[in-house]
Amino acid sequence: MEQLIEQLKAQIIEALSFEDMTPADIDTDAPLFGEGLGLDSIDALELIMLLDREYGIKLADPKAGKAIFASVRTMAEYISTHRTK
Amino acid sequence: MAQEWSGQTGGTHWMQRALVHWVRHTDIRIMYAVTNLWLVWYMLVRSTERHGAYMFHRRRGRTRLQAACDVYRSFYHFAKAIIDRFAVYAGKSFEVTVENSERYYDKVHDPEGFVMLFSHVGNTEMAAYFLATPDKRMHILTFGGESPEVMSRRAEAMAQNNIGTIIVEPETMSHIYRINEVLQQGEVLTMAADRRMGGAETVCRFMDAEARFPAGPFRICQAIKKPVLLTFVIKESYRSYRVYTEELAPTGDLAQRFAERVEQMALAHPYEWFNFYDFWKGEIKN
Repeated sequence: MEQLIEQLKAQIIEALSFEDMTPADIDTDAPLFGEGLGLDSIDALELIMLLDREYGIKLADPKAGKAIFASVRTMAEYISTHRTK
Repeated sequence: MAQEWSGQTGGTHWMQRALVHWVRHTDIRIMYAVTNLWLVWYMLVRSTERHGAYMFHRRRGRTRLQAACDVYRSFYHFAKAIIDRFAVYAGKSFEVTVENSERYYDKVHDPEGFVMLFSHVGNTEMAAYFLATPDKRMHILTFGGESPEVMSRRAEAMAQNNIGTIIVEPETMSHIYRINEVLQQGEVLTMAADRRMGGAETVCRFMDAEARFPAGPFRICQAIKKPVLLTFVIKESYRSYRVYTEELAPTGDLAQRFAERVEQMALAHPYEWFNFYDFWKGEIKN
């Protein structure tokens, strides 16, 4: 799981073009939206595409998405049980 | 002075219902003529829109007197655009010429989805009705907020033309999931990219000054990495429209390139500029 979390952090940094950030700067349990990483709705679009592109996960339910995108850890947990690649 | 678009077509619920009824049973040229009388009242009471239109004409180099006269012409063209929109709701049709139509229909027949960006130079909403095809479903990203009459008539007209809507829901972000879904399914997302509705902004050089555009549409284009078409719908005569489409690369300076093309079209068709609010950061001094 820890390896997946680190990989996911690196992918988020690349997808969202956080050029001055490293995986160590992202708190695994901090909220991704609002406080914490401070992402917005279009960043969510990038994350939805990232899950599809890298892990073969297609998200279409906003309610499920809210729980999945709560933090890097919740994302990683979802990926580990639902990935198709 | 308002710095954003209010997001609603003017007129009461009763007026909008009456307009649909009249336009169904009346030659639209008569409707245009009657509109001239109503415009005098509209110009008097709509100070925000009046000033917004005046500022645009001053920025394109018109004198105060010319700009004041131009405001009337702008409102007249705007009224015609609204009448035409209600004419479509009432089932009437227009002659439409699509410039570079082969390129557009190649995109339609390509399995890949694409984004269409609109501005409010010309009759934006008509673009969807003119360009929709049975082969590829089109989805209009909208903030909602229109009156029930407009929403209901619009939904009816859209359903007949293979057009759907995606309403922006900032709380649930459900629109983001729908945007991804329709584009991955190879369908078309359309959105206006020149009206701010309270979200993030990007500043572009526009008519020799800094102007604020909504950042969202451009960020969506850059994120989704699908082809982007810029579209203008310009009225040519009482029965005809000409549609211009061109492809824009979804790269980093997309907003500025969009602004430049909107400027060129707005200057070429100045009375088709329908962003009647304070578009610029500063006021002109002279």
